[in-house]
Amino acid sequence: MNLSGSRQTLGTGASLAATLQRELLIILRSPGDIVNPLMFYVIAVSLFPLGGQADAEWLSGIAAGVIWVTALLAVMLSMESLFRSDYEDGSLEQLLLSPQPLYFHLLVKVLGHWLLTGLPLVLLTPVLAMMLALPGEAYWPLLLGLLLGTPTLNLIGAIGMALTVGLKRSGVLLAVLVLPLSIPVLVFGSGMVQTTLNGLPYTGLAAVLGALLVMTVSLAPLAIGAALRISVN
Amino acid sequence: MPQFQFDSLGDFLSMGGDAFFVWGAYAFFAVSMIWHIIQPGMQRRKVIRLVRARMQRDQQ
Amino acid sequence: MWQWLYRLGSPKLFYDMTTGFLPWLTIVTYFLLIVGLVWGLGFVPPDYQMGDNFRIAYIHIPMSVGAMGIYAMMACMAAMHMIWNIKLADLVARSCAALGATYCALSLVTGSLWGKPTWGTYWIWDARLTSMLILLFVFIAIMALRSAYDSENSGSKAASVLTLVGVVNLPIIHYSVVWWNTLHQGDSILGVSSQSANPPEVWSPAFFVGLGLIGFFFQALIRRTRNEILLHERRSQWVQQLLTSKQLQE
Repeated sequence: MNLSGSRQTLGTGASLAATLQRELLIILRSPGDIVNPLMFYVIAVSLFPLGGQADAEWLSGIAAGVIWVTALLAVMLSMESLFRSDYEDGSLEQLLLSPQPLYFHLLVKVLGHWLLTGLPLVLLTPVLAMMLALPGEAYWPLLLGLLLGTPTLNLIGAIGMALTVGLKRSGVLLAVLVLPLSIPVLVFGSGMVQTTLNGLPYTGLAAVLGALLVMTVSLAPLAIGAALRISVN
Repeated sequence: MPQFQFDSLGDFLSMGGDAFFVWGAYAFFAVSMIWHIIQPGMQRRKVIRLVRARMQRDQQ
Repeated sequence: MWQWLYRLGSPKLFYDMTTGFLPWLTIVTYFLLIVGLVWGLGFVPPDYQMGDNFRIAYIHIPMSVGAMGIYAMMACMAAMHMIWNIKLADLVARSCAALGATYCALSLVTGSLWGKPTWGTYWIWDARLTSMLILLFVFIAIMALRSAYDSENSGSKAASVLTLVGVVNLPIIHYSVVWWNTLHQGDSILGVSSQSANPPEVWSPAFFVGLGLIGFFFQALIRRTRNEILLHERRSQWVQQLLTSKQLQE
Protein backbone atom coordinates (compact mmCIF):
# COMPACT_ATOMS: atom_id res chain seq x y z
CA MET A 1 0.00 0.00 0.00
CA ASN A 2 1.46 3.32 -1.05
CA LEU A 3 -0.53 5.54 1.26
CA SER A 4 1.22 5.23 4.58
CA GLY A 5 1.15 7.89 7.25
CA SER A 6 4.78 8.86 6.79
CA ARG A 7 4.19 10.08 3.28
CA GLN A 8 1.62 12.78 3.86
CA THR A 9 3.44 15.10 1.52
CA LEU A 10 2.21 13.00 -1.38
CA GLY A 11 0.44 15.26 -3.87
CA THR A 12 -3.25 14.82 -4.57
CA GLY A 13 -2.65 13.58 -8.10
CA ALA A 14 -0.09 11.03 -7.04
CA SER A 15 -2.22 9.80 -4.19
CA LEU A 16 -5.22 9.42 -6.48
CA ALA A 17 -3.09 7.43 -8.90
CA ALA A 18 -1.96 5.31 -6.00
CA THR A 19 -5.56 4.72 -4.93
CA LEU A 20 -6.51 3.68 -8.43
CA GLN A 21 -3.54 1.38 -8.67
CA ARG A 22 -4.29 -0.14 -5.32
CA GLU A 23 -7.95 -0.62 -6.18
CA LEU A 24 -7.10 -2.35 -9.44
CA LEU A 25 -4.53 -4.54 -7.72
CA ILE A 26 -6.95 -5.61 -5.01
CA ILE A 27 -9.61 -6.62 -7.48
CA LEU A 28 -7.12 -8.34 -9.77
CA ARG A 29 -5.86 -10.40 -6.86
CA SER A 30 -9.31 -11.89 -6.28
CA PRO A 31 -10.46 -12.84 -9.79
CA GLY A 32 -13.70 -14.20 -8.36
CA ASP A 33 -14.88 -10.67 -7.75
CA ILE A 34 -14.53 -9.95 -11.46
CA VAL A 35 -15.63 -13.27 -12.87
CA ASN A 36 -18.59 -14.10 -10.67
CA PRO A 37 -20.76 -11.08 -11.55
CA LEU A 38 -19.99 -11.73 -15.22
CA MET A 39 -20.97 -15.36 -14.83
CA PHE A 40 -24.15 -14.28 -13.11
CA TYR A 41 -24.82 -11.93 -16.03
CA VAL A 42 -24.38 -14.65 -18.64
CA ILE A 43 -26.30 -17.30 -16.74
CA ALA A 44 -29.20 -15.06 -15.79
CA VAL A 45 -29.62 -13.79 -19.34
CA SER A 46 -29.58 -17.32 -20.72
CA LEU A 47 -32.37 -18.28 -18.33
CA PHE A 48 -34.87 -16.06 -20.12
CA PRO A 49 -35.10 -18.10 -23.35
CA LEU A 50 -35.32 -21.23 -21.19
CA GLY A 51 -38.02 -19.81 -18.96
CA GLY A 52 -39.86 -18.07 -21.77
CA GLN A 53 -39.73 -18.98 -25.42
CA ALA A 54 -36.78 -19.57 -27.71
CA ASP A 55 -38.18 -18.05 -30.90
CA ALA A 56 -36.21 -15.10 -32.22
CA GLU A 57 -39.17 -12.75 -32.48
CA TRP A 58 -40.19 -12.99 -28.85
CA LEU A 59 -36.58 -12.83 -27.71
CA SER A 60 -35.72 -9.72 -29.72
CA GLY A 61 -38.73 -8.02 -28.16
CA ILE A 62 -37.50 -8.53 -24.61
CA ALA A 63 -33.74 -8.51 -25.33
CA ALA A 64 -33.04 -4.92 -24.30
CA GLY A 65 -35.06 -5.17 -21.11
CA VAL A 66 -33.52 -8.50 -20.14
CA ILE A 67 -29.97 -7.32 -20.78
CA TRP A 68 -30.48 -4.07 -18.90
CA VAL A 69 -32.18 -5.60 -15.88
CA THR A 70 -29.61 -8.38 -15.65
CA ALA A 71 -26.74 -5.94 -16.07
CA LEU A 72 -28.21 -3.84 -13.26
CA LEU A 73 -28.39 -6.87 -10.98
CA ALA A 74 -24.89 -7.98 -11.95
CA VAL A 75 -23.45 -4.55 -11.20
CA MET A 76 -25.15 -4.63 -7.84
CA LEU A 77 -23.75 -8.05 -7.02
CA SER A 78 -20.27 -6.85 -7.97
CA MET A 79 -20.51 -3.96 -5.48
CA GLU A 80 -20.02 -6.32 -2.57
CA SER A 81 -16.26 -6.31 -3.17
CA LEU A 82 -15.97 -2.52 -3.30
CA PHE A 83 -15.75 -1.69 0.41
CA ARG A 84 -16.03 -5.05 2.16
CA SER A 85 -12.36 -6.02 2.42
CA ASP A 86 -11.31 -2.41 3.07
CA TYR A 87 -13.80 -2.26 5.89
CA GLU A 88 -12.61 -5.50 7.41
CA ASP A 89 -8.89 -4.71 7.33
CA GLY A 90 -9.34 -1.14 8.53
CA SER A 91 -8.00 0.61 5.45
CA LEU A 92 -11.39 2.24 4.94
CA GLU A 93 -10.91 4.04 8.22
CA GLN A 94 -7.48 5.13 7.02
CA LEU A 95 -9.03 6.47 3.85
CA LEU A 96 -11.54 8.51 5.84
CA LEU A 97 -8.80 9.87 8.07
CA SER A 98 -6.35 10.62 5.27
CA PRO A 99 -5.62 14.27 4.53
CA GLN A 100 -6.34 13.77 0.83
CA PRO A 101 -9.74 14.89 -0.46
CA LEU A 102 -12.14 12.06 0.22
CA TYR A 103 -14.43 13.03 -2.63
CA PHE A 104 -11.87 12.28 -5.35
CA HIS A 105 -10.60 9.20 -3.62
CA LEU A 106 -14.03 7.68 -3.55
CA LEU A 107 -14.60 8.65 -7.16
CA VAL A 108 -11.34 7.03 -8.21
CA LYS A 109 -12.11 3.97 -6.15
CA VAL A 110 -15.46 3.50 -7.84
CA LEU A 111 -13.89 4.21 -11.23
CA GLY A 112 -11.28 1.51 -10.64
CA HIS A 113 -14.02 -0.87 -9.63
CA TRP A 114 -15.97 -0.03 -12.76
CA LEU A 115 -12.94 -0.55 -15.01
CA LEU A 116 -12.65 -4.15 -13.83
CA THR A 117 -16.30 -5.10 -13.34
CA GLY A 118 -18.49 -2.74 -15.35
CA LEU A 119 -16.40 -2.48 -18.47
CA PRO A 120 -16.01 -6.26 -18.99
CA LEU A 121 -19.75 -6.52 -18.58
CA VAL A 122 -20.29 -4.01 -21.37
CA LEU A 123 -17.78 -5.81 -23.56
CA LEU A 124 -19.51 -9.12 -23.00
CA THR A 125 -22.91 -7.71 -23.97
CA PRO A 126 -22.73 -8.11 -27.78
CA VAL A 127 -22.47 -11.87 -27.37
CA LEU A 128 -25.57 -11.96 -25.20
CA ALA A 129 -27.38 -9.55 -27.51
CA MET A 130 -26.67 -11.91 -30.37
CA MET A 131 -27.98 -14.87 -28.38
CA LEU A 132 -31.19 -12.92 -27.71
CA ALA A 133 -31.55 -12.10 -31.43
CA LEU A 134 -31.30 -8.36 -30.94
CA PRO A 135 -31.65 -6.60 -34.32
CA GLY A 136 -28.38 -5.27 -35.72
CA GLU A 137 -29.19 -1.57 -35.53
CA ALA A 138 -29.81 -1.80 -31.78
CA TYR A 139 -26.26 -2.87 -30.85
CA TRP A 140 -24.76 0.60 -30.74
CA PRO A 141 -27.46 2.21 -28.60
CA LEU A 142 -27.34 -0.78 -26.26
CA LEU A 143 -23.57 -0.60 -25.85
CA LEU A 144 -23.44 3.17 -25.63
CA GLY A 145 -26.25 3.10 -23.07
CA LEU A 146 -24.46 0.51 -20.96
CA LEU A 147 -21.20 2.41 -21.27
CA LEU A 148 -22.87 5.55 -19.92
CA GLY A 149 -25.19 3.74 -17.53
CA THR A 150 -22.99 1.20 -15.73
CA PRO A 151 -20.75 3.84 -14.09
CA THR A 152 -23.90 5.53 -12.81
CA LEU A 153 -25.14 2.21 -11.50
CA ASN A 154 -21.76 1.62 -9.90
CA LEU A 155 -21.92 4.95 -8.10
CA ILE A 156 -25.50 4.42 -6.93
CA GLY A 157 -24.57 0.93 -5.84
CA ALA A 158 -21.61 2.35 -3.97
CA ILE A 159 -23.99 4.54 -1.95
CA GLY A 160 -26.00 1.46 -1.01
CA MET A 161 -22.86 -0.52 -0.27
CA ALA A 162 -21.45 2.29 1.87
CA LEU A 163 -24.68 2.35 3.86
CA THR A 164 -24.66 -1.40 4.47
CA VAL A 165 -20.97 -2.27 4.70
CA GLY A 166 -21.06 -2.15 8.50
CA LEU A 167 -23.84 -4.73 8.65
CA LYS A 168 -23.21 -8.41 8.98
CA ARG A 169 -25.62 -9.40 6.22
CA SER A 170 -26.22 -6.81 3.57
CA GLY A 171 -27.01 -8.70 0.35
CA VAL A 172 -30.79 -8.44 0.10
CA LEU A 173 -30.93 -5.08 1.86
CA LEU A 174 -28.50 -3.67 -0.70
CA ALA A 175 -30.90 -4.73 -3.45
CA VAL A 176 -33.87 -3.14 -1.66
CA LEU A 177 -31.98 0.14 -1.28
CA VAL A 178 -30.36 0.37 -4.67
CA LEU A 179 -32.86 -1.04 -7.14
CA PRO A 180 -35.52 1.69 -6.78
CA LEU A 181 -32.85 4.37 -7.15
CA SER A 182 -31.50 2.73 -10.31
CA ILE A 183 -34.79 2.95 -12.18
CA PRO A 184 -34.00 6.10 -14.24
CA VAL A 185 -30.86 4.53 -15.68
CA LEU A 186 -32.77 1.39 -16.53
CA VAL A 187 -35.63 3.33 -18.13
CA PHE A 188 -33.48 5.58 -20.28
CA GLY A 189 -30.95 2.87 -21.10
CA SER A 190 -33.40 0.32 -22.42
CA GLY A 191 -35.39 3.22 -23.85
CA MET A 192 -32.44 3.98 -26.12
CA VAL A 193 -32.80 0.54 -27.66
CA GLN A 194 -36.58 0.77 -27.92
CA THR A 195 -36.52 4.15 -29.68
CA THR A 196 -33.93 2.85 -32.13
CA LEU A 197 -36.12 -0.14 -32.89
CA ASN A 198 -39.01 2.28 -33.43
CA GLY A 199 -36.88 4.10 -35.99
CA LEU A 200 -36.25 7.21 -33.89
CA PRO A 201 -32.89 8.78 -32.99
CA TYR A 202 -31.44 7.76 -29.63
CA THR A 203 -29.05 10.69 -29.16
CA GLY A 204 -31.40 12.62 -26.87
CA LEU A 205 -31.69 9.71 -24.48
CA ALA A 206 -27.93 9.16 -24.60
CA ALA A 207 -27.61 12.79 -23.54
CA VAL A 208 -30.00 12.18 -20.65
CA LEU A 209 -27.95 9.17 -19.56
CA GLY A 210 -24.83 11.31 -19.83
CA ALA A 211 -26.48 13.99 -17.70
CA LEU A 212 -27.40 11.37 -15.12
CA LEU A 213 -23.79 10.19 -15.12
CA VAL A 214 -22.47 13.73 -14.61
CA MET A 215 -24.96 14.35 -11.85
CA THR A 216 -24.16 11.09 -10.10
CA VAL A 217 -20.43 11.67 -10.43
CA SER A 218 -20.79 15.07 -8.81
CA LEU A 219 -23.22 14.13 -6.03
CA ALA A 220 -22.79 10.44 -5.23
CA PRO A 221 -19.29 10.72 -3.68
CA LEU A 222 -20.75 13.10 -1.08
CA ALA A 223 -23.40 10.56 -0.13
CA ILE A 224 -20.87 7.71 -0.22
CA GLY A 225 -18.56 9.68 2.07
CA ALA A 226 -21.33 10.49 4.54
CA ALA A 227 -22.50 6.89 4.52
CA LEU A 228 -19.00 5.51 5.05
CA ARG A 229 -18.45 7.77 8.04
CA ILE A 230 -21.60 6.31 9.58
CA SER A 231 -20.62 2.74 8.80
CA VAL A 232 -17.09 3.06 10.12
CA ASN A 233 -18.12 4.54 13.47
CA MET B 1 -78.00 21.83 2.12
CA PRO B 2 -76.80 18.59 0.50
CA GLN B 3 -79.38 15.89 0.00
CA PHE B 4 -78.87 12.19 0.77
CA GLN B 5 -78.41 10.74 -2.69
CA PHE B 6 -79.69 7.22 -2.14
CA ASP B 7 -83.27 6.00 -1.93
CA SER B 8 -82.71 3.31 0.69
CA LEU B 9 -80.02 1.78 2.86
CA GLY B 10 -79.72 -1.14 0.45
CA ASP B 11 -79.25 1.31 -2.39
CA PHE B 12 -76.55 3.07 -0.38
CA LEU B 13 -74.78 -0.19 0.36
CA SER B 14 -74.84 -1.32 -3.26
CA MET B 15 -73.16 1.93 -4.43
CA GLY B 16 -74.65 1.74 -7.89
CA GLY B 17 -73.25 -1.75 -8.41
CA ASP B 18 -69.70 -0.85 -7.41
CA ALA B 19 -70.13 -1.89 -3.78
CA PHE B 20 -67.10 -4.19 -3.80
CA PHE B 21 -64.77 -1.47 -5.02
CA VAL B 22 -66.10 1.46 -2.99
CA TRP B 23 -66.55 -0.42 0.26
CA GLY B 24 -63.38 -2.40 -0.36
CA ALA B 25 -61.38 0.80 -0.68
CA TYR B 26 -63.02 2.29 2.40
CA ALA B 27 -62.47 -0.94 4.33
CA PHE B 28 -58.74 -0.91 3.59
CA PHE B 29 -58.70 2.73 4.57
CA ALA B 30 -60.59 2.10 7.82
CA VAL B 31 -58.41 -0.84 8.83
CA SER B 32 -55.20 1.13 8.25
CA MET B 33 -56.48 4.16 10.10
CA ILE B 34 -57.64 2.04 13.05
CA TRP B 35 -54.23 0.40 13.11
CA HIS B 36 -52.60 3.80 13.28
CA ILE B 37 -54.95 4.80 16.09
CA ILE B 38 -54.34 1.66 18.13
CA GLN B 39 -50.67 1.07 17.47
CA PRO B 40 -49.21 4.23 19.08
CA GLY B 41 -51.30 3.50 22.18
CA MET B 42 -49.91 -0.01 22.47
CA GLN B 43 -46.44 1.30 21.82
CA ARG B 44 -46.88 3.90 24.55
CA ARG B 45 -47.98 1.29 27.08
CA LYS B 46 -44.97 -0.85 26.17
CA VAL B 47 -42.54 2.07 26.44
CA ILE B 48 -43.91 3.25 29.79
CA ARG B 49 -43.79 -0.26 31.22
CA LEU B 50 -40.22 -0.72 29.98
CA VAL B 51 -38.97 2.62 31.29
CA ARG B 52 -40.66 2.10 34.68
CA ALA B 53 -39.15 -1.36 34.97
CA ARG B 54 -35.70 0.05 34.26
CA MET B 55 -36.17 2.82 36.81
CA GLN B 56 -37.12 0.26 39.46
CA ARG B 57 -34.14 -1.87 38.58
CA ASP B 58 -31.83 1.13 38.83
CA GLN B 59 -33.19 2.07 42.26
CA GLN B 60 -32.43 -1.33 43.74
CA MET C 1 -28.61 32.61 15.72
CA TRP C 2 -29.92 29.10 15.61
CA GLN C 3 -30.87 29.24 19.27
CA TRP C 4 -34.58 29.02 18.56
CA LEU C 5 -34.01 25.98 16.41
CA TYR C 6 -32.22 24.17 19.20
CA ARG C 7 -34.95 25.16 21.61
CA LEU C 8 -37.55 23.81 19.20
CA GLY C 9 -35.47 20.68 18.93
CA SER C 10 -35.76 20.06 22.64
CA PRO C 11 -37.68 16.82 23.19
CA LYS C 12 -39.04 18.08 26.51
CA LEU C 13 -40.49 21.19 24.92
CA PHE C 14 -42.05 19.12 22.15
CA TYR C 15 -43.52 16.72 24.68
CA ASP C 16 -44.92 19.47 26.90
CA MET C 17 -46.36 21.45 24.01
CA THR C 18 -48.08 18.48 22.44
CA THR C 19 -49.59 17.27 25.72
CA GLY C 20 -52.15 20.03 25.67
CA PHE C 21 -52.44 20.30 21.93
CA LEU C 22 -52.95 16.65 21.03
CA PRO C 23 -56.53 16.13 22.34
CA TRP C 24 -57.77 19.18 20.43
CA LEU C 25 -56.05 18.11 17.26
CA THR C 26 -57.53 14.65 17.62
CA ILE C 27 -61.06 15.97 18.11
CA VAL C 28 -60.83 18.34 15.14
CA THR C 29 -59.33 15.57 13.01
CA TYR C 30 -62.09 13.08 13.74
CA PHE C 31 -64.73 15.74 13.20
CA LEU C 32 -63.32 16.70 9.81
CA LEU C 33 -62.89 13.08 8.75
CA ILE C 34 -66.37 11.98 9.78
CA VAL C 35 -68.09 14.99 8.19
CA GLY C 36 -66.06 14.69 4.99
CA LEU C 37 -66.48 10.94 4.62
CA VAL C 38 -70.19 10.83 5.37
CA TRP C 39 -70.75 13.76 3.04
CA GLY C 40 -68.63 12.22 0.31
CA LEU C 41 -70.14 8.76 0.62
CA GLY C 42 -73.78 9.71 0.86
CA PHE C 43 -74.53 13.33 0.05
CA VAL C 44 -72.68 14.08 -3.15
CA PRO C 45 -74.57 13.42 -6.40
CA PRO C 46 -73.08 10.52 -8.39
CA ASP C 47 -70.70 11.36 -11.21
CA TYR C 48 -72.48 11.27 -14.57
CA GLN C 49 -69.62 9.23 -16.09
CA MET C 50 -68.33 7.06 -13.30
CA GLY C 51 -71.44 6.61 -11.18
CA ASP C 52 -70.79 5.99 -7.51
CA ASN C 53 -67.27 4.62 -7.67
CA PHE C 54 -65.82 8.15 -7.84
CA ARG C 55 -66.46 8.29 -4.08
CA ILE C 56 -63.18 6.41 -3.73
CA ALA C 57 -61.48 9.63 -4.85
CA TYR C 58 -62.25 11.22 -1.48
CA ILE C 59 -59.69 8.94 0.14
CA HIS C 60 -57.52 8.14 -2.84
CA ILE C 61 -56.46 11.67 -3.80
CA PRO C 62 -55.60 12.92 -0.28
CA MET C 63 -53.64 9.72 0.30
CA SER C 64 -51.57 10.22 -2.86
CA VAL C 65 -50.82 13.85 -2.14
CA GLY C 66 -50.26 13.02 1.52
CA ALA C 67 -47.70 10.32 0.76
CA MET C 68 -45.59 12.79 -1.22
CA GLY C 69 -46.00 15.49 1.42
CA ILE C 70 -44.92 13.07 4.12
CA TYR C 71 -41.79 12.23 2.17
CA ALA C 72 -41.00 15.93 1.83
CA MET C 73 -41.42 16.40 5.56
CA MET C 74 -39.32 13.34 6.33
CA ALA C 75 -36.59 14.72 4.05
CA CYS C 76 -36.59 18.07 5.89
CA MET C 77 -36.30 16.21 9.18
CA ALA C 78 -33.48 14.05 7.81
CA ALA C 79 -31.65 17.18 6.66
CA MET C 80 -32.06 18.80 10.07
CA HIS C 81 -30.82 15.64 11.68
CA MET C 82 -27.76 15.46 9.44
CA ILE C 83 -26.87 19.15 9.46
CA TRP C 84 -27.63 20.28 13.00
CA ASN C 85 -27.63 16.86 14.61
CA ILE C 86 -31.08 17.45 16.14
CA LYS C 87 -32.19 14.20 17.71
CA LEU C 88 -35.86 15.18 17.75
CA ALA C 89 -35.84 15.62 13.98
CA ASP C 90 -34.77 12.02 13.63
CA LEU C 91 -37.49 10.82 15.99
CA VAL C 92 -40.03 12.66 13.83
CA ALA C 93 -38.51 11.27 10.61
CA ARG C 94 -38.75 7.78 12.04
CA SER C 95 -42.45 8.24 12.74
CA CYS C 96 -42.95 9.71 9.26
CA ALA C 97 -41.67 6.59 7.53
CA ALA C 98 -44.34 4.23 8.82
CA LEU C 99 -47.14 6.71 8.16
CA GLY C 100 -45.80 7.61 4.73
CA ALA C 101 -45.61 3.96 3.74
CA THR C 102 -49.20 3.49 4.90
CA TYR C 103 -50.48 6.52 2.98
CA CYS C 104 -48.58 5.36 -0.09
CA ALA C 105 -49.89 1.79 0.13
CA LEU C 106 -53.43 3.03 0.68
CA SER C 107 -53.14 5.31 -2.31
CA LEU C 108 -52.14 2.32 -4.41
CA VAL C 109 -54.82 -0.01 -3.04
CA THR C 110 -57.66 2.50 -3.34
CA GLY C 111 -56.42 3.56 -6.76
CA SER C 112 -56.37 -0.05 -7.85
CA LEU C 113 -59.91 -0.61 -6.56
CA TRP C 114 -61.00 2.53 -8.38
CA GLY C 115 -59.21 1.49 -11.55
CA LYS C 116 -61.11 -1.77 -11.96
CA PRO C 117 -64.59 -0.23 -12.45
CA THR C 118 -63.34 2.83 -14.39
CA TRP C 119 -60.50 1.51 -16.55
CA GLY C 120 -61.44 -2.16 -16.43
CA THR C 121 -58.20 -3.25 -14.78
CA TYR C 122 -56.72 -3.24 -11.31
CA TRP C 123 -53.33 -2.17 -12.47
CA ILE C 124 -51.90 -0.32 -15.44
CA TRP C 125 -48.29 0.79 -15.80
CA ASP C 126 -49.35 4.39 -15.78
CA ALA C 127 -46.75 6.99 -14.84
CA ARG C 128 -48.50 8.09 -11.67
CA LEU C 129 -49.15 4.57 -10.43
CA THR C 130 -45.62 3.49 -11.17
CA SER C 131 -44.06 6.49 -9.44
CA MET C 132 -46.26 5.89 -6.42
CA LEU C 133 -45.17 2.24 -6.34
CA ILE C 134 -41.54 3.30 -6.42
CA LEU C 135 -42.16 5.84 -3.66
CA LEU C 136 -43.52 2.97 -1.58
CA PHE C 137 -40.37 0.96 -2.31
CA VAL C 138 -38.24 3.87 -1.13
CA PHE C 139 -40.25 4.25 2.09
CA ILE C 140 -39.82 0.53 2.74
CA ALA C 141 -36.11 0.68 1.92
CA ILE C 142 -35.61 3.49 4.44
CA MET C 143 -37.42 1.56 7.16
CA ALA C 144 -35.51 -1.62 6.31
CA LEU C 145 -32.16 0.16 6.46
CA ARG C 146 -32.93 1.73 9.81
CA SER C 147 -34.00 -1.53 11.38
CA ALA C 148 -31.00 -3.41 9.96
CA TYR C 149 -28.61 -1.53 12.20
CA ASP C 150 -27.96 -2.74 15.74
CA SER C 151 -26.75 0.66 16.82
CA GLU C 152 -29.67 3.02 16.85
CA ASN C 153 -27.51 6.06 16.24
CA SER C 154 -25.91 4.63 13.11
CA GLY C 155 -29.27 3.37 11.91
CA SER C 156 -30.87 6.79 12.10
CA LYS C 157 -27.90 8.49 10.43
CA ALA C 158 -27.94 5.92 7.62
CA ALA C 159 -31.69 6.32 7.17
CA SER C 160 -31.23 10.09 6.96
CA VAL C 161 -28.59 9.74 4.24
CA LEU C 162 -30.83 7.42 2.26
CA THR C 163 -33.78 9.79 2.67
CA LEU C 164 -31.73 12.65 1.27
CA VAL C 165 -30.45 10.53 -1.60
CA GLY C 166 -34.10 9.76 -2.29
CA VAL C 167 -34.95 13.47 -2.44
CA VAL C 168 -32.51 13.95 -5.29
CA ASN C 169 -33.53 10.75 -6.98
CA LEU C 170 -37.32 10.72 -6.67
CA PRO C 171 -37.98 13.61 -9.10
CA ILE C 172 -35.65 11.98 -11.62
CA ILE C 173 -37.44 8.68 -11.15
CA HIS C 174 -40.75 10.45 -11.65
CA TYR C 175 -39.67 12.09 -14.90
CA SER C 176 -38.07 8.92 -16.19
CA VAL C 177 -41.29 7.04 -15.54
CA VAL C 178 -43.36 9.75 -17.25
CA TRP C 179 -41.12 9.57 -20.29
CA TRP C 180 -41.13 5.77 -20.28
CA ASN C 181 -44.90 5.78 -20.02
CA THR C 182 -45.37 8.07 -23.01
CA LEU C 183 -43.07 5.77 -24.98
CA HIS C 184 -45.02 2.65 -24.17
CA GLN C 185 -48.55 3.74 -23.50
CA GLY C 186 -49.43 6.07 -26.31
CA ASP C 187 -52.52 7.99 -25.34
CA SER C 188 -53.34 7.53 -21.72
CA ILE C 189 -56.74 6.11 -20.89
CA LEU C 190 -56.93 8.47 -17.96
CA GLY C 191 -59.34 10.75 -19.78
CA VAL C 192 -61.71 10.78 -16.84
CA SER C 193 -59.77 13.00 -14.46
CA SER C 194 -61.37 16.31 -15.35
CA GLN C 195 -61.08 17.65 -11.82
CA SER C 196 -61.31 21.31 -12.74
CA ALA C 197 -64.78 20.90 -14.17
CA ASN C 198 -66.14 19.61 -10.87
CA PRO C 199 -68.61 21.89 -9.07
CA PRO C 200 -68.06 22.89 -5.43
CA GLU C 201 -70.56 20.37 -4.06
CA VAL C 202 -68.27 17.63 -5.38
CA TRP C 203 -64.97 18.91 -4.10
CA SER C 204 -65.99 20.43 -0.78
CA PRO C 205 -66.14 17.06 1.05
CA ALA C 206 -62.68 16.39 -0.36
CA PHE C 207 -61.55 19.55 1.38
CA PHE C 208 -62.81 18.19 4.70
CA VAL C 209 -61.28 14.75 4.18
CA GLY C 210 -58.02 16.27 2.99
CA LEU C 211 -57.69 18.48 6.05
CA GLY C 212 -58.82 15.58 8.20
CA LEU C 213 -56.13 13.31 6.83
CA ILE C 214 -53.47 15.98 7.33
CA GLY C 215 -54.69 16.26 10.90
CA PHE C 216 -54.70 12.50 11.24
CA PHE C 217 -51.14 12.31 10.00
CA PHE C 218 -50.00 14.91 12.51
CA GLN C 219 -51.81 13.40 15.47
CA ALA C 220 -50.45 9.93 14.69
CA LEU C 221 -47.01 11.45 14.10
CA ILE C 222 -47.11 13.30 17.42
CA ARG C 223 -48.27 10.24 19.34
CA ARG C 224 -45.52 8.10 17.82
CA THR C 225 -42.90 10.75 18.37
CA ARG C 226 -43.93 11.16 22.02
CA ASN C 227 -43.39 7.44 22.52
CA GLU C 228 -39.97 7.68 20.93
CA ILE C 229 -39.13 10.64 23.16
CA LEU C 230 -40.11 8.76 26.32
CA LEU C 231 -37.96 5.85 25.23
CA HIS C 232 -34.94 7.89 24.20
CA GLU C 233 -35.02 10.39 27.04
CA ARG C 234 -35.65 7.74 29.69
CA ARG C 235 -32.48 8.67 31.54
CA SER C 236 -33.38 12.35 31.74
CA GLN C 237 -34.85 13.75 34.91
CA TRP C 238 -38.09 15.06 33.48
CA VAL C 239 -39.11 11.71 32.03
CA GLN C 240 -38.29 9.95 35.29
CA GLN C 241 -40.36 12.48 37.21
CA LEU C 242 -43.18 12.15 34.73
CA LEU C 243 -43.18 8.40 35.10
CA THR C 244 -42.95 8.36 38.90
CA SER C 245 -45.98 10.58 39.25
CA LYS C 246 -48.88 8.19 39.12
CA GLN C 247 -51.09 10.49 37.10
CA LEU C 248 -49.45 9.28 33.90
CA GLN C 249 -51.49 6.18 33.21
CA GLU C 250 -50.25 3.51 30.87
